[in-house]
Amino acid sequence: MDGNSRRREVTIAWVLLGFSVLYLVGSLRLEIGTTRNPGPGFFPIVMGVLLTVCTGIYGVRVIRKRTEAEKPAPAAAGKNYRALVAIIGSGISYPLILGTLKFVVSTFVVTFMMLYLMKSRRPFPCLLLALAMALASFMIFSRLLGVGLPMGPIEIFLFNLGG
Amino acid sequence: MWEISQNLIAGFGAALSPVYVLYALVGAILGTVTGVLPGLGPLGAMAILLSFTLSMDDTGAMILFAGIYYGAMYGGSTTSILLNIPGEAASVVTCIDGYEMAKKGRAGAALTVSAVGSFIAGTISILGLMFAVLFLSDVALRFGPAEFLAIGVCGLTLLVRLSGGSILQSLIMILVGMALATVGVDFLSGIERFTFGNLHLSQGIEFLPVAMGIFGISEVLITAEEKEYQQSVKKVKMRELMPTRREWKSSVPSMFRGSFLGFLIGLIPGPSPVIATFVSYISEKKISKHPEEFGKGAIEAVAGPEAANNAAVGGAYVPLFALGIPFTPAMAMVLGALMLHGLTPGPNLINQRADLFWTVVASMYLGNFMLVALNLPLVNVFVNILRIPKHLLMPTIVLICMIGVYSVNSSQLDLLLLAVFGFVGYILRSAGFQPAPLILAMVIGPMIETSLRQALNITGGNFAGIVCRPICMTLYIVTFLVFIISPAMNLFRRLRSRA
Repeated sequence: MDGNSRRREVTIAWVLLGFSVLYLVGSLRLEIGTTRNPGPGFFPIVMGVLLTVCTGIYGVRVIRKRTEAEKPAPAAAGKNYRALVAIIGSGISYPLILGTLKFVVSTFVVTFMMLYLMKSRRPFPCLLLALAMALASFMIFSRLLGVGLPMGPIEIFLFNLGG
Repeated sequence: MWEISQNLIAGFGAALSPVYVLYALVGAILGTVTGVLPGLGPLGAMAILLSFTLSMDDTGAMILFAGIYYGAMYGGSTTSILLNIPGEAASVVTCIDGYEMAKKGRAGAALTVSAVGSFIAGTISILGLMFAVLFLSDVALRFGPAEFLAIGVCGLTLLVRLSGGSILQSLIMILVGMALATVGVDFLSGIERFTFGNLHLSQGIEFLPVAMGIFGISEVLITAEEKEYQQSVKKVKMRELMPTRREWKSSVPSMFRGSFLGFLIGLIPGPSPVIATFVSYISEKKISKHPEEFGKGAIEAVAGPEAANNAAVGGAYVPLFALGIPFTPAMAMVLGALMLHGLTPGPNLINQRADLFWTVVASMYLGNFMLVALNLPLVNVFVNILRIPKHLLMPTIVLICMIGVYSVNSSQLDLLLLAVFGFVGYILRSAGFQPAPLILAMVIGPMIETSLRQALNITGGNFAGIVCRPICMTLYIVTFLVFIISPAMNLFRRLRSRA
């Protein structure tokens, strides 16, 4: 295991443990009830305890793992991190801009971002392709399939195009 | 028997309507395409299309999903045999001898045997599905909360043992899934849990963005981070597709053995199509008069596993239709689609919606036939799908996922959940966690909680009264045995080697 993977595992272990503890604390605020008549907190408390124990054991295992293989990571060299940034960035920014920019513009923006960052460095073909995909997806999903998408002036114009 | 025949005829009548034939065809084609593409499996395809099933009726949605699942099994074998690339996990075993056959110029024969084997297996498993569901759903009508609790607990426990990864990691995933399932209004007391006063969260965490994120987006992320693949695609001529008489003779018994084995393994929780292929391969090798040919292009090693993975698909539908409990992640997607249409699968579904069950069964026959008819003549077309550049395919899939999730509730929060769970799924998978137990636990979790609380109410808080019922006890003992059998065998072997 390389240093990056180890760090990632340790981070995941801490995040899982944090989630478990928060969940357990949250479940303790709910009414437990009795075994005869279990309340809404009965099941979450059992889950919370089990989860905290399991993530605790996992954390200890990860931390106790030897740092034997903290060698440089050759596999990471072949990875396309731009693609990851493009997809995750688009996924997070899309809901944030959709309400303001409406469907066509926001879809165009995130599609361009993905196309540009994933492979091609020439912006013009990416712009054209992103525009085509945004318009085509609006026509397919809104007009053909009847999906309710956020509408602005562009969308209303496109929707009424051709009657 | 007469009633079954009548129902099946009625099912065929409905399944042959143009719309359902179209859904079966689209499902079969999409399934084959996802089976061909490495990285994007049937689960990802189902997750991506889950939201679009809302524009169909419930039967149409089921037909589409069945087509995708079967199609992926067919499609996966094509690239395994021709390119040594398993399109999805259940086709890994086919690579071993299928590709060796291709190197010897017998790719056409391997493809035909694989397609015919899949067809036979599909037909046998559909027959098995019909009878098993009818029998089990009849029995399940007599089940109480304790029995459903036992089935849920045993199903998840077996999943931990059989899902292949670390037991501790799978257990954590199950518990996280169960914890996520408790968010929202408790439907027995009406009290809000873990909602932080958010109206959206009071309805619970939506299954759709979580499933699409964890399976769809995370698969895209894993595929996208790898450098672009460029395949040299081999052509298969039509006249090469016919196996020789000797090849038929060797492969037909393997197809039947694989079918029965696959169906039985399909009933077990876990990645049944994958397990079925490995078990079939090992058993074929043990039975064979020429085990030395395995790994060098033995046709039985293609016929058996290919039949087994298709038969396992039929088997996986049994617990879902009969008990309303999905034992595989793909079935969790099917359950998700049913729930989106307001249906609750379980023993009552067969009585209340007999039309749905029989139409889906009939469409499975049709889908299988379509797949054989499509896959062999169009094998070169499907293989060429690998030529689509990844930097065009991946943004398109992400876009479809985002529009799909938004279309259900018109909620930007769902879109954010999709991105967050996509990233979480990617991180967890890259650290060796299996996301399937999380999704299954999210689906089964509410049933387990409700059953536990109802059972405790009925028995007056007596845990022994919940466990010590004949069906429950049997299930717990079987699960315990399955859980300890492998460590016990290891211990036994170690003790013997010391002695």
